[in-house]
Order: sequence, then C-alpha cells, then structure tokens
Amino acid sequence: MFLSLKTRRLIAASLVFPLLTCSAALSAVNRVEFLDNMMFTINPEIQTQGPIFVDSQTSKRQDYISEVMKIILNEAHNQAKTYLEAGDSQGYYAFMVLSMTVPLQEGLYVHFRETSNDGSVCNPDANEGAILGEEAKTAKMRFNQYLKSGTIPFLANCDQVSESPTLKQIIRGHDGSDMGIMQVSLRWHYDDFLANKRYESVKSSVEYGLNFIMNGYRYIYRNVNDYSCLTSFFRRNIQYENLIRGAWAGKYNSGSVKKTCRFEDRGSAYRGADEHFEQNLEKVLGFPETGEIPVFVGFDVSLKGDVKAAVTEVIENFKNEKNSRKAIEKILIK
Amino acid sequence: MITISCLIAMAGVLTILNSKIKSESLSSESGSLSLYKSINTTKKSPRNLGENDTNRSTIVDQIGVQQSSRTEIIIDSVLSKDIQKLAQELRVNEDETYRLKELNNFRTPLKDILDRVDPEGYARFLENTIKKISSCLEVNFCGMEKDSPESPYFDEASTIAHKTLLRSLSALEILIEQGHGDLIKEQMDSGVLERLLENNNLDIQQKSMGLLKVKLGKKEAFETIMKHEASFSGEAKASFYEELSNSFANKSQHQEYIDSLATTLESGDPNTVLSVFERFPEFSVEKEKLSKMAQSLCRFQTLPNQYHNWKVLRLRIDKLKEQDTLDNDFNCL
Repeated sequence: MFLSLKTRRLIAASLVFPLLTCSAALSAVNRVEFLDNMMFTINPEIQTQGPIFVDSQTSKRQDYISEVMKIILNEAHNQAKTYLEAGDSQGYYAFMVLSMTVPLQEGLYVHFRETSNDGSVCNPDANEGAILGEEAKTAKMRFNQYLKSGTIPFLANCDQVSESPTLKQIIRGHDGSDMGIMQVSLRWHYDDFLANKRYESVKSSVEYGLNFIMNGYRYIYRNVNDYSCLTSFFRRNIQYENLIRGAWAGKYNSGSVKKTCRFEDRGSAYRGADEHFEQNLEKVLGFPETGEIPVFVGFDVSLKGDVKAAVTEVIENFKNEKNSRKAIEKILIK
Repeated sequence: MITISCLIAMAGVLTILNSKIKSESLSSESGSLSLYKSINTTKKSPRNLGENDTNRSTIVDQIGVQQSSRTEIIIDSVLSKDIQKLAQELRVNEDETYRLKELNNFRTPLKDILDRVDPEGYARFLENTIKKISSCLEVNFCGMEKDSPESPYFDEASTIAHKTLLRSLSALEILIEQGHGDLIKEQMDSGVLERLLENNNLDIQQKSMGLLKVKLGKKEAFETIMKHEASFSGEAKASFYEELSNSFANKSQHQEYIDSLATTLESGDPNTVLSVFERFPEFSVEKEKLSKMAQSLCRFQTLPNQYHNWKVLRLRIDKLKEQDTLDNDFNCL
C-alpha cells in the first residue's frame, strides 16, 4: 500500500489524538472494546489450554504477555535449534525474531480473551458465521463442520451464554475466516489445525503457525541466492531482516515462496501489509531500547523479568551477531 | 490504561482511516490491519442470508443432486465454493458427492470410513476421484481460487483438490494394508499414478511412488519413477531416493541410482542437496560410495552466501561419521 502524505498525517493523528484527548480521562477500563469485533465467543464447556488475556485487569497483562512470549520463544527454539547446533546463530536468531513478529502482526499476541459480559460481548453474527462473506463459502463450511458441530461445539450460541457473567473468546480475522494468535485460515488449514482442534491450545496454535512459516523460511534461506531481495549487492551478504520480511510476505501471507520478494515491490497490491509487517518488526527490534512492544494504543507489551531478559538477549544477539544464551536458556523448557 | 470512550473515539478515527486506506489501495489480509476492517464490519442482514439460499439451490441444480434423506448433508458439502467447483469438475453423482464430503471431513479417521463401505465400490470411487483431480489440477487447480480477488493467499500445492487427492491416495494405502492389494492393483491406473509423480505436492508424489511399486512391481516401478526424476526437488527428492532405496531389481538399476544421487549432490539446488544429505542413512549405498559422492559437498565452503548451508552440512557430516555412515577420515581438505 502506498499512502499519500495526507493519509500518513491521518494515521499520525489517529495515534496521537486519542492519547491527547483521553489522557486526562484514564481510569479503570472494563475491556478493550474494539477487540469485541475481533472475537468468536467460546462455548463455556470447552476446556482451553494456555494463557488467557483477561481483558479488565491491567495488572495481569504483564503476566499474560510474558507467558505467551515464553511459549513463542520455546516453540521458535524447537523449530530453529538445528541452526544453533550447526553454529549458525544468525539463522537461529532471525527465526526467533520472526517468530516474535508474526503473532504480533497476525493476532496482536492475543489468542484467548476473557471479559465480563455486559450482553454485547458475544456477537451472534460472528458466532453463527454470518460475517463470513459470499466469497468465503468454503470457510463457512469449515466453520460449521468443525466449530459449530459435535456434542460440544467449540463456539457458543450467544443466546445460551447471555447470562454468563464472564465470557471466554478466541481472536478472529475481520471476516471470521482466520482464527487464533497466528490467524490460521479456516479454508486452507482444515485438515490439521481444525481437524485436530489445535486452536484449543495456545501452544499448539503457535507451534502450527511457526512450523508452517519454518517450511518457507528453511527453503528460502537455503536457496537464498535465488532471491535478490535477500542478499546485498553483488550477493556479498545475506540480509537477515529481509529474510524475516520475505518469509512472512511469501510463505505466510501469500502461501508461496515465489512471493518472497513481494515486500520490495513498490507497486504491489499488498504493500500496505508488507509495510505494516516492517513496522511490527521494528517494534520488536526496538524492545531492548524501549522495554515495550506497542501492540495497540493502551496495550504495550512490557514483560516480566526473566522473559524480558530472554527477549532482550534474542534481539541483541540478532542485531549484534552474538550468541549469549544465559537469559534464553533460563526460560527454555527442557 | 485508557477508558472505553477513548477507545470508541479511536475506533471512529480508525474507521475513517480504514475507508481512506481502502480508497487508496487494495486491502490487506494481515492480522493487525484486519483490526481496522474489523471495526468497520457490516453485519449481514437476513436478506443477505436469503440470497445465499438462492445460491444454494443453484449449486444443487448444477451438480444434479436430488432430494433425499441425505440431501441436507450433501447440500452442506456443496455449499462451499471449493467443493462446489470440485464437484463440477469431477461431475459427481449423489453418492460420490456424499463420499467427497466424507473424505473431506478430517475429523473422521479414514479407517472408520473404510470399515463401513464395500471395498470394491469404494476403490472405484477413489480411483475415479484421483483420476479426475489429477487431470483438472493440471489445467486450472480444479477451479480453486484465492479467497477473494484481493486476497494475497493462494497455496498452489495445497488446495482442497490437493487435500482430497491426498486423502484418496491414503485411503488406497489403507485398503492395501487391509488385504485388498490385489483389488487395488487391478483397478489402479498406472498412467494416472505416473502423472502424479509430477505433482507439486510432496506428499502426493511420495504416495504415488509407493502405490506405483504395488501396481508395477519393483523393476518396472523403478524405471517409471526414475523417468520422472527431474520433477522431484527438496524434501521430495529425498523421499524419491528413500523410496527407491532397496527397490533395485538388478545391478544396473543400483548403478543408475548411485549415479543419480551423485549428480544431485553435485549440481542440485542447495535446498535439495541439504534435504537429500539429511536422509543419507536411509539410502542403500555402501559407505565408501557415499563418502566419495559426499566430497562434492565441500564446495559449499567457498560458494557465495552458502557458508550457513555449509555449517549445517558440516554438522551432518560429523554425525554421519559418528554413525559410521561416512568414512571416519572423510574431510574437505
């Protein structure tokens, strides 16, 4: 997406204006309301696994995000440790950074949310699949087949949970055809992600998404000379930040490694998405300096001590081509 | 922290922003940009849903589905755009449409499906499905398309047609395991399986090799599969050598295998070379010959931008030496 100056100003205003006008009114918030439009409501009888973003208690957000980040780092390490064992620490840390960026880009580090129910939280159109448009017929079929059927359907009927004081939800894409922290497509990933109910677990969802992107990452990294955008002039060096951007633009967002260099194409119809990913990558890479990853206004990711140290170490290693492991090893589950 | 009213204000600004962005460019499918669209989501009216119902009858008419006790299930199966197109491509009848739906329900284990069908009739259905999908995949991915024209995503090696094809091949494998090998051997068309060796899906290529061995026997399968060597790369190439390993009917085929492996290591793309080398212990080649052909890997030390691949190869070489798959004195000096 190539935005005009006017639009860029509008973006800046959208970020600054609410902060200025509302800063005086900061007080206890019930929930992040715009997330209401990004959620399916889960059947209360379903047992989910993994951390839940309790959307009302600010004090616990740090605990939540630290737990999620720990899962991400562990799963990323499992996928990429071969590089580390081979002594290719830069290949390893590039994948670790990629793994921290994709769930920010895709699901804002949110998988499950729990919030108090004021009667408007459960969206019947979302939970019945009505928001899935005409073009998403296949996703609708998968939605009915896997999420709304069985003895205990995964998604609730809103009228049946109207009296529940709290509701548990799962993040979805704007039209409901993607789901979870990794925004896995219901249309394309029904044979494993849906069939094996991987969405019921944060860890399993992260593992699925990272495994998928690793298939592309491994391929383009090995065949790096086939992609002009991944090497510097005269192919002297591998550009690891571009490797991260290319892995997302190609395999993850386009479904094809052939689109790896899409992010360099100024005329691409998906330039906006690629620029947005670049901004999220910058947010992640800026963590050691800022101590926070701004997810959205009012929700910055600050992390607990051990996870903060591990994330900082990963990023510093990546940026400085080092391989310090003290903090990372502390949070890895043996 | 921020109040709800602040967020509503932000949502308003973001909504304006969203419409502005949309007016300047195509929308993005990425998650966080989805947030903008999410705020602006228009709820479907009952009228919209009614229109879908009209489409439903059109689809049913198109594939010739009759009213029956199974109609609701069948309608469910054809409601999707992809299955509708697949059904059209395959020109299926009512029973086959039902079976197509069953095949695509990955929550139902294949063994459960096969336990309640007549093996002969089902094998015919599978063979027919495989034949038709393999043809239409080559033409237009059996009508499979992006989610929408604006969507960036299309995995041309993993469409619903691919998944249906793969599941059909898996079902044939299970029927063979269940003792219906002769039936499958008789019904399967080796020409179709041969064509699937050139499919862009690794798992489809792999299963086709296995089924060709059942259909044609070792010697003929080796010759047939070897003819399609150029269609295999990366992980598929590693599976190619693994599948052909121990399938030699004579010394000449064994030599052909060794020559092919050596050429791949010498001139394959790095991903193929690394994938194949990772599976070295699975190939039936003597240690001395493997060590000799592995010498060509030493070039990775000095090729531009290949040092990261060399590190992986070096680690693998050390492990293979430990396992006695490579000569202990193998080195690149």
